[in-house]
Amino acid sequence: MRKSAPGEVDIGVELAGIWLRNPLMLASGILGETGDLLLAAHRAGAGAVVTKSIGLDPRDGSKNPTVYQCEGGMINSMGLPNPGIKDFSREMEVLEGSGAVVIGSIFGARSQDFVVLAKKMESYGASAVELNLSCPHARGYGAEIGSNPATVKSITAAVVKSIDIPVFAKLTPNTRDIASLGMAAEDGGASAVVAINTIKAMAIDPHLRKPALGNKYGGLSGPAIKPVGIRCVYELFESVKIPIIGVGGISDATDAAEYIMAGASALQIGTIVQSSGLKAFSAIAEGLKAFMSEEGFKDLSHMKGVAHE
Amino acid sequence: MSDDQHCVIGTLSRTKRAGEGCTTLIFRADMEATPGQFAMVWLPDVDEVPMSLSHICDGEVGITVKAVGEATKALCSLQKGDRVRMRGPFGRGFTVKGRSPLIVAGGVGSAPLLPLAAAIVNAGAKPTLVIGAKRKAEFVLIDEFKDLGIEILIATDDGSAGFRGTASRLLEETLDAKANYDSLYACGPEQMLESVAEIAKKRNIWGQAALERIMKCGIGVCGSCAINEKLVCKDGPVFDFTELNGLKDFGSVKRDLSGRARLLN
Repeated sequence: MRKSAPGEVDIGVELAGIWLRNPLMLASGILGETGDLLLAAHRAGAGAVVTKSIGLDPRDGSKNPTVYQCEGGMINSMGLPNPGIKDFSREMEVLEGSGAVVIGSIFGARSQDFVVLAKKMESYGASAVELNLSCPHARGYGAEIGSNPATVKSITAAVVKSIDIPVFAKLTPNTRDIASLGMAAEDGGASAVVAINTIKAMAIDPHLRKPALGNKYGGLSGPAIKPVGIRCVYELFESVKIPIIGVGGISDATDAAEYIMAGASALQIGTIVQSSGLKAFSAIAEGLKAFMSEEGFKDLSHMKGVAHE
Repeated sequence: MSDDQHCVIGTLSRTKRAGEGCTTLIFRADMEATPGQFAMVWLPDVDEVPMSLSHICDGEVGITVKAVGEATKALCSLQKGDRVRMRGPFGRGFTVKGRSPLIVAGGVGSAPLLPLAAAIVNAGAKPTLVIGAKRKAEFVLIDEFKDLGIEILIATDDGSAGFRGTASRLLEETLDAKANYDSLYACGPEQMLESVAEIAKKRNIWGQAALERIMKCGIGVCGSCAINEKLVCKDGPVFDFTELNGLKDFGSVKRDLSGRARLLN
């Protein structure tokens, strides 16, 4: 095995024409509701930051409890709270000139909603948009529309046609066949797919004898879902040519390496921020460099998809 | 559900009137906390709300609730033996410091300051409480502070008891009269906290304040309690005045349930 000096390892990556200083992006829904917090994630070393999913109108989200910590992660049912695309302009302004790569996550009930939102995000300076086709706990949105390949394709195509920045489709694992969703996004002209969103889940409080979340159902994230995410990225890598952004339970450098070996070009980090804070970005980036040096990879392209060879 | 997931069941063991429209609820619960920390208290089918702990004792925690909304009214009507779920304790509590601390309480802001005052007394220091309310009947937890045997200075907006004016005005006068106070703690309406932070800065006194924001996750992931780059649930709810004085939104902007920025008053 040929070793590389840590200083020679490059973890920068070009994704759909966007240069990322490292592959670690802040996942949507984690802190990304305000410009100040997105900026903090950028300053903490994130390669890119994805906003909270933004819709046409302000939305309060689900009633508390909206988060429940369980073994191996947490279940959330935030219910897509967001200030609405109009007010979100002031959060995006905070990021202007910061050098942060900002990806605007958007959700809607139909193609036209996504088109309106994507155009706004583009006008606010987003480097790309991420289509939330996968939230498992909001009626009429997310996975409810994103489980159907034809809908994924038509929404993606409508957005791709209307803006000049790259479009990423975030896919749901709550489906029989994630590869068909990935292919639909690719057919629709997506520049990348993001996999996975949370897994639909529930917890019950045995003493109070009730579902532990106000919305009853939520989405499971964290280490518990990593093997599912790895499997989905692996399947997608065999089915699509566009880059895959891997997400789901990445807590350390070896988790990151697993996703890259499964075929991910870039990664998103979420639940680990709960316990480690934003310093998770620099810790995983440094760990990834050390791992690659030790294992003889001089850049990410040499590691991507090696598990398929 | 396991205990290591910061989740305990609280069984109501007793209640006590804490002021007009205010009730202290003491739960038997296996929770160790420091003054200033909070718990997310869940009443199934109603809501889960962040509550400062106003009573921290072996095997017991208490909250002091002002019945203003659906959840707080439901909490105040709980009966002995009723159970709630408590996630926590969360956040950063107060640091006990100073030989002669001044504590400034406004309204239901008394709640986290009561166990702090007790901890200060236990540490052998002599705290002084400045407590403010709109009128005499609205003091919160004043009898419990009296039970600690500490000096108490009171202010009412309408002059129905003690100093006529705000708690922060009384604080200024108190500091003018006697200069040996060496730390400052506050909790209450944010305008009051802003005034106290200003006083702390002007007089160069170390101190801390506990803040309130909308909380959803309580554990530092959702961002709903953001105040600039700080999270009230995780970086706070207790902040040093020097930190607060560096935050643009302190005293001026709060966010609503949707995350929209709203000017404070």
